[in-house]
Amino acid sequence: MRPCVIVLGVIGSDCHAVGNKILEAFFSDRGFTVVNLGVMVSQDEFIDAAIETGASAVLVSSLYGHGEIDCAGFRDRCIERGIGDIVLYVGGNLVIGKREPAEIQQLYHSMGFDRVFGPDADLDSVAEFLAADCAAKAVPAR
Amino acid sequence: MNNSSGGRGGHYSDRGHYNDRGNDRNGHNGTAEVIAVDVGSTWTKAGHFVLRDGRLSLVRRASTPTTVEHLPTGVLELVRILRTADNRVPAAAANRGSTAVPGRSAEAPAGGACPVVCSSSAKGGLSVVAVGIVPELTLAMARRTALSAGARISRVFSYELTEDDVRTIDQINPDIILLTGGTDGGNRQYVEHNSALLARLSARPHIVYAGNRAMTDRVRERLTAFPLAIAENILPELDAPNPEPARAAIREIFIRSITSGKGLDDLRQLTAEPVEPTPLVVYEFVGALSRLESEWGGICVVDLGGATTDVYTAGAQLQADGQRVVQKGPPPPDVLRTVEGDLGMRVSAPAAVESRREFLSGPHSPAGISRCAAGMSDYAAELRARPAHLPQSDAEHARDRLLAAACVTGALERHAGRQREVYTPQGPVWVQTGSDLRELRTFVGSGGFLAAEEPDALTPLFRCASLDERGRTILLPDRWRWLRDRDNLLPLLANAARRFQRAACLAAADHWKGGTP
Ligand code: B12
Repeated sequence: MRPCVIVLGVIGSDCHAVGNKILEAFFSDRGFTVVNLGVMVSQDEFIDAAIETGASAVLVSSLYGHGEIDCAGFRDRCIERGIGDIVLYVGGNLVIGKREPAEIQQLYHSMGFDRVFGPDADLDSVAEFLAADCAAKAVPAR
Repeated sequence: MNNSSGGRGGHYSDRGHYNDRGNDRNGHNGTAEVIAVDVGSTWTKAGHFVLRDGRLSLVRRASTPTTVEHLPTGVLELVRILRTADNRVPAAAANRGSTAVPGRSAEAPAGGACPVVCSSSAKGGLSVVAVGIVPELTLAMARRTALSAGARISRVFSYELTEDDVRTIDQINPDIILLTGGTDGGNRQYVEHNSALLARLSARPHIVYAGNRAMTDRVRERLTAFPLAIAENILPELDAPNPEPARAAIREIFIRSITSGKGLDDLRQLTAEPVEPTPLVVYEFVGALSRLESEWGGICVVDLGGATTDVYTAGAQLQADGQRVVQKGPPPPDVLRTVEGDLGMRVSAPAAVESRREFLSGPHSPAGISRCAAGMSDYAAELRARPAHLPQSDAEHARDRLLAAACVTGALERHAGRQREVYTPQGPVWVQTGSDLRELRTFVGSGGFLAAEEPDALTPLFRCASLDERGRTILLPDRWRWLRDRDNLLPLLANAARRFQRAACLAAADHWKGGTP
């Protein structure tokens, strides 16, 4: 089987680079083919990269608190650009201030993200979810 | 014919084009001289150069109207003229418009059996249709790669081809289709679809496949009816462009097949090197110049023609530093060529007036110029109808200057990269696309008009916009040194450089600074 291709990046004007590097190292180590777009990535750049690389999943990071604005309409844009069925995850410090995790989940689910993670996410279980979700959607080779 | 070369590691990959180290070779018979010929769409020009004190100097030059019905005729005629010692042009040739002019340096040895090097942009040059997926990714790379191979891009297609597109390609009837799409191991869907559609073409152009390696077999199977070359992926990974193998494949096809289609194969016995597309030869030369003339701090050559404006840059600090500036899209190449098909002095004059309307209606400092701007559309229409027209009055001359400025500034603005300032809570960060040319200092104007025109009369009009229509900063320098390619030697020196690279670069530098090659 082809290794699962995933696209990583930090969305919007967010410059927090450390977590992104850690995610790249972690998922590469777990056998994923990682396409890392780094920091300050726009929605279209994520989608462009996913199309060219035939990625199964896009993992969006947002650390600086503006995720709610930057991520709005992400799934719709994927649909519009022809990759509506791609696996979408989001993680990091997704909102400003203290808010209930369930509320944050709800917020990002409504934008079309399949799974939503906080800054303390257990990456091992993320990797398991990811492998399963990609296999489930195993789109006939995009 | 099927000249597939295998996938990754195919035989094109590690071949440099010319001698990059800049050491010069002597001719076969030990003579240090060369006859350089450029077959253009209207004129064929040639120059006889000899090596003196490490520089090439021009002994004599000759030109003749391009013999479109059989390109070698004109070339052979010029070589014959240059290989004879005196400046006599045979009567029959003179009647056709051939001329010979001695170079500035006095003694003129006979060209004898002097080796000949030739390039051509006649009969439409090298026409390429580029197919990719995402406009900013594989398609941008395909476009860049074809231009660096000296091609004229006839049309580009992103995402899925349609039946209509196939008919359009049949009408265009390009020399080569560059089919790309997908990083290695990446997207297959579009190449799957697009190769199936290309298989329906009635025309049989060469196809170069330089996309997702995983699709190579599929493409080969689909496109058996076409002369197909397989090259390494131009974008194997998103941030690792790999244009060279596809570029080499295009060049190879030009040399092996397309030159014969244009009737140039009769020259094979005459020339010491294969006939190449002129823009490719110039591209290599600009790269060599930037390496050898480091004190120039990068070089930009603007070749303003009747139909297009070509811009070549090399040697500037092109890439973002990655700290305060974040680069987006494929990293810029060392040598960048862009071609603007809607900016030109004759055939494209109406298109230029149209697309540079804003520039033309802006303020123009030198007295009298603003008044000329008014009649530009009529003048441009006239130029298109009569491309051989030369300005007959001061007013027409002023209009030509303004038109040239519109083309040059427009082409430079499109050639340069962009930066957008993003305000982040801890200060501004710039997001960059394309090449940062702000450190470029040396600009060379080439092509008939720019070669003839005193820079002092022209450059005050060269005022580029600092922001584009989306408010992004255009990465052009705020001051420059404008040199002109007096006598239009660029294509000849670029050809001569294929045998005497360093000496040709030094000659060009001298010549453009006002010396005598
Ligand atoms: C270092 C730092 C900076 C540095 C960044 C340097 C750099 N280039 O990376 C600088 C000083 C530039 C900076 C600037 C700012 N920062 Co700051 N910064 C931090 C700090 C102290 C550490 C971040 C870090 O590197 N963490 C270590 C990495 C490993 O963890 P991580 O980034 O969280 O990533 C992990 C997880 O979140 C998770 N994850 C992340 N993405 C995803 C995605 C998925 C799908 C999954 C499953 C998991 C996942 O996995 C990652 C790896 O373990 C944090 C506080 C903190 N302790 O987290 C604040 C913090 C992130 N910054 C904050 C803020 C507000 C800012 C500024 C807006 C204002 C400021 N204080 O200056 C600016 C924004 C600049 C910009 N445009 O982005 C806030 C964000 C608040 C919020 N979201 O509500 C924080 C939380 C501090 C705070 N408590 O106020 N910052």
